[in-house]
Amino acid sequence: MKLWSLVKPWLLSLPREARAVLLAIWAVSALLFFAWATALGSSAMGSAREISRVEPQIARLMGYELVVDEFERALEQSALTLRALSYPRTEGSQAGAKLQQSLRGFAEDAGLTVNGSQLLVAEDRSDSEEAFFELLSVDLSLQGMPSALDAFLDELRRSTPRLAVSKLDLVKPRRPRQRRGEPAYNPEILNVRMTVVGLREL
Amino acid sequence: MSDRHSPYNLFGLDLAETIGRVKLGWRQLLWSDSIGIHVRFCPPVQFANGDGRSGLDARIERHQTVTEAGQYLGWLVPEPEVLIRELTVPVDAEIYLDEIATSSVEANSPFDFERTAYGYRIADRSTHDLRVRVAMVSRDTAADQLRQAAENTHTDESGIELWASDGDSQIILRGFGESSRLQQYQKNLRGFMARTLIAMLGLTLVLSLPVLWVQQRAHQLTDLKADTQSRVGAVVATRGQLVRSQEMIDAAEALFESYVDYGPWLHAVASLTPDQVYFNRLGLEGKTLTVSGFAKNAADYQSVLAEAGLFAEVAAPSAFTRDERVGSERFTLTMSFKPAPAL
Repeated sequence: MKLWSLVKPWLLSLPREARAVLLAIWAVSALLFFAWATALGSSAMGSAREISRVEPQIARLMGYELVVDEFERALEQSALTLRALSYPRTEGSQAGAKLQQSLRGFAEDAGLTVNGSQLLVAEDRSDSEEAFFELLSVDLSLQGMPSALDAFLDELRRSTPRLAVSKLDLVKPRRPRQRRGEPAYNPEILNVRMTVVGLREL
Repeated sequence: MSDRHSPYNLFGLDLAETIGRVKLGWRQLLWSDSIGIHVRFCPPVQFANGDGRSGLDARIERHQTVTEAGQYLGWLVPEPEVLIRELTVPVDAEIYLDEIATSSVEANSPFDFERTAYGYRIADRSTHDLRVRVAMVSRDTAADQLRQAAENTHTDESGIELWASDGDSQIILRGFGESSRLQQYQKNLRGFMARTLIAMLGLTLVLSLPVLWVQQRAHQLTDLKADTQSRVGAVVATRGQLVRSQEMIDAAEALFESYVDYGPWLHAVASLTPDQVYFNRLGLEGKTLTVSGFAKNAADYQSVLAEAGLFAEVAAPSAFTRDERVGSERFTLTMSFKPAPAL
């Protein structure tokens, strides 16, 4: 303001045309300076932004390089954990048949009679858009003692890859008419229908 | 107003006057004493027959000639030999001032126009008018004065400027030795402009240095990132596999968490159920348990289950009915599992 108060009387004392030319020169100079300063500033800001974006990326990449052994160990551990949770991708369509075979084996080992089984397959998209797994689902129709069912459920709990029961239906069968030569009716025998689920990597 | 023959005709608009005013403004900037450029950069003229004469003589002794000393010599034509005429013109007519002064000389000189040396200056400037003083001298008189000046100063006539006094100030008479001083003025201006330009370029460079450094650093880092990426590509791929593997584990565990381990619940139901209760059917789906069967007192059994603290919403979807054939109440109960970590 002090400078302007000094310049203003001098500027007003100038001839009209000289004042106009001088103001035009000042305006063009100021415009050029502003354009230059803006270009310089935006270039500096762009570069600074690039630096602040790239520096952490480089640091992260170098950090990866330092812990490559840990990564490999963790990957091996993850692969083992994954094997305990699902059938591998390499099993392909054999995984369902394998699951069905395992369940029949568990049931027979536990003392249950397998009356039937059916495999149903669906993709699991419950947690994210990307499907990681195929959901293998087996409907089982069994018959046997409660203790055998208990043993079968224990076996399922311990199985690898991991399995779970999604539905269980226990029905006491009707007492049949006793025929000669047939074994005696055991009132503890149950008809069991259950759905067992497992996963296969996609 | 448009002039079709004007060299500055733009879409029928005559720009000649505008351009004339821009030129006038530029001339005022360079030549008007009120601006200061002329005063600062134009070399002063030393009048050999003026007040500074003794100082000039001392310099001549040292440098042989006045021009060698860097001084520009002027000679004041005696007042009786000069005709001064004062004109008042509107400020807007300033762009035609040369023509006005020339026509004034043509109209008022007592000599033939070709035999008249003249010059003019703006003596006063108001908002509306200019007071212009025109000085006229016979060319013969001017030649005599030049000869006299050359003899007195021991210099060549071509280096001497002729001036006339109008009482308040001096008016330069055109066409004599002023051209070398004006060339020096232009040279001084060019030198100053060159120095200013160099200083501005230097300042620009200094101000640009931090920006250039930042740009250079950004380029270096981008290159370093590309190098690092190509070097650790395999590690990044391993990490990607690890991340995907962890996501798969999380997804699988979340899925299995949603299923209930029915074994402990079957045991819990069995231990809570009294001997007088018989089941026909027991169904488990998700977190819901449905039991059907016979009990001596179905309501008591419902209370036992509700009070056990393991089940929520223990309900009978249909009424208990007494079956006289088995002597017990037929019931169906539904309930849902409470979170029971102890099981």
